[in-house]
Amino acid sequence: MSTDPVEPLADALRAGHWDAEQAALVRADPAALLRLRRRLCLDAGLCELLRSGQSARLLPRRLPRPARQAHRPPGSARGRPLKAGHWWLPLLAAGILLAIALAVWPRPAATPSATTAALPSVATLIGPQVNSSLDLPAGTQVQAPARLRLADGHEVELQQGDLALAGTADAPRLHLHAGALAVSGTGASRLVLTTPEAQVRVLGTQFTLRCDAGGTDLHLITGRVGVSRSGSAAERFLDPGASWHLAPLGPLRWSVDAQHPTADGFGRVAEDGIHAAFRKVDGIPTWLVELPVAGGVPAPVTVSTTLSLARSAEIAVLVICLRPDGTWATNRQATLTLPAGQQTLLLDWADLPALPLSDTDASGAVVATRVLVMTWAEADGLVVQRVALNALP
Amino acid sequence: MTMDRDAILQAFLAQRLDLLAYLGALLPAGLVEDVFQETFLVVARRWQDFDATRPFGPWCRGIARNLARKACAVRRAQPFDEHAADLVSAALDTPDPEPALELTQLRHCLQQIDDRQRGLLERFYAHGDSLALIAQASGRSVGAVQVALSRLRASLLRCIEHRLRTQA
Repeated sequence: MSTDPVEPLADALRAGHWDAEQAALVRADPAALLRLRRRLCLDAGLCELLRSGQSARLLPRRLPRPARQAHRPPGSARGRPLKAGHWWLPLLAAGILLAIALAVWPRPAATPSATTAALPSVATLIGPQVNSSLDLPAGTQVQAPARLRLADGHEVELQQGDLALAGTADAPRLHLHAGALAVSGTGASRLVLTTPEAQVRVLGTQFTLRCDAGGTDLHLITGRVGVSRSGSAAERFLDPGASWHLAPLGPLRWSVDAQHPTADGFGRVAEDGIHAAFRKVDGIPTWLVELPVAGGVPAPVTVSTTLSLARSAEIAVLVICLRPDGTWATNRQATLTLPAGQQTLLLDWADLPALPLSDTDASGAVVATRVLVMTWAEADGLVVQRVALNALP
Repeated sequence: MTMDRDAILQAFLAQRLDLLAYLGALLPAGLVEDVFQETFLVVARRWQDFDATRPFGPWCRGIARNLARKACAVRRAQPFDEHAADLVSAALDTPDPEPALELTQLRHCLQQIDDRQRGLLERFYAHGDSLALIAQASGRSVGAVQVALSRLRASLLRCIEHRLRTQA
């Protein structure tokens, strides 16, 4: 093995403990510094590609969404800044994570912990990894295989993927980002299941639900469900034996949407129906939404941002369209003063040409373009509720 | 001399990998992406503060460093290592006569390696497993894992250089 100090130094930097003597050697040698530079850039590139399953990310990874706080392995947790006086939150979170990890990982039974019981539970994990049941609070993400029982008696069998728990015991909301599950039960329920594109209201029933890149598929066995596209008020009801397919909004079938314009009169290209990500950046409360648009961006388009303001304030919306290779195609920023209340802001992109931004990687897979929408106000009280990219008819 | 906002945002994205390399060497994996995005936002908001007579990379890294320091403090991660930051900055400021690493080339070269090698890279880079953990799981010594990774990286760099030269 070579005595080059660069490799062990780079490894040590990653591990968080490095040797000052080794560092001094590297610093004194421009050629070694250059090798360190190349190694660090290669590390960054490998992290980018391997963490994202080789899809080129324009901004790294997904944006955090407070509404979907996921259970992550200890050590990789991300979180919002804690307020002063909430020193006990990390301890509580650690307890919950430990309890969930014990229950969800394939090992012998776990016992419900006192810390878990302290939070109102949304569902109870009843199998298959646990011998005794475990109450799970909102914010938990459960990995397949898992069987959950809800307060109304309905059971959810998660066969593939991750399921995020939200809502309350009386009105649970479960989000399946990708995977498959089966629901069984009788009688009335206030359970709502969501996928990236669909919303399913459970009305005492038995059905299977699967969602992946191709969209959402539901097969109703008995009972009744109300189904709708996420964010749409137009709900329809399925009869037993019926199957329902909903194409995803992300890789967009633009022509389909053009023929069926949405309620606001525009063709929908992409939207984020979940309450957007929120972070204080440089002291300014900022909402960030990233919309993957695999089909490219047609022209002309508008970006509509539905938001509410606690009081009249000046807000800024910055929209950036990023190509798969990491370069940006275009951007727009609007700054305007809005009154208090809920409103939808349309940022006009009508003067731009079509942006066929999608690309294929070496294996021929489509790499999505991303549209990044950032909204902020100097004052507190701004809540972004929905961001959509619309094509003008 | 001034740069307009578009030029600054373009410049930011052009040196994205450098900034990720900087943050990746100094922060726990879970914080890298957050601080990168925050840096982007601050650059987008404060683009007028940039003095175009000075180099752009260090200006961005200065913003990233402040945000990284704050993120480490607020999120109670490991303390931010100022000396390591100086060292990594010095490395990234070293001019490279070769073309910069491109993800497209790296993606292609990753397809040339076998599943076992890819699995090793994924454990180290995607899952963040330590060398000791990988060694334990694979029944090898830490040194052997370190050497295997080092050889893999060298082979990837050779592949990238070859592709860049061929294309040039």
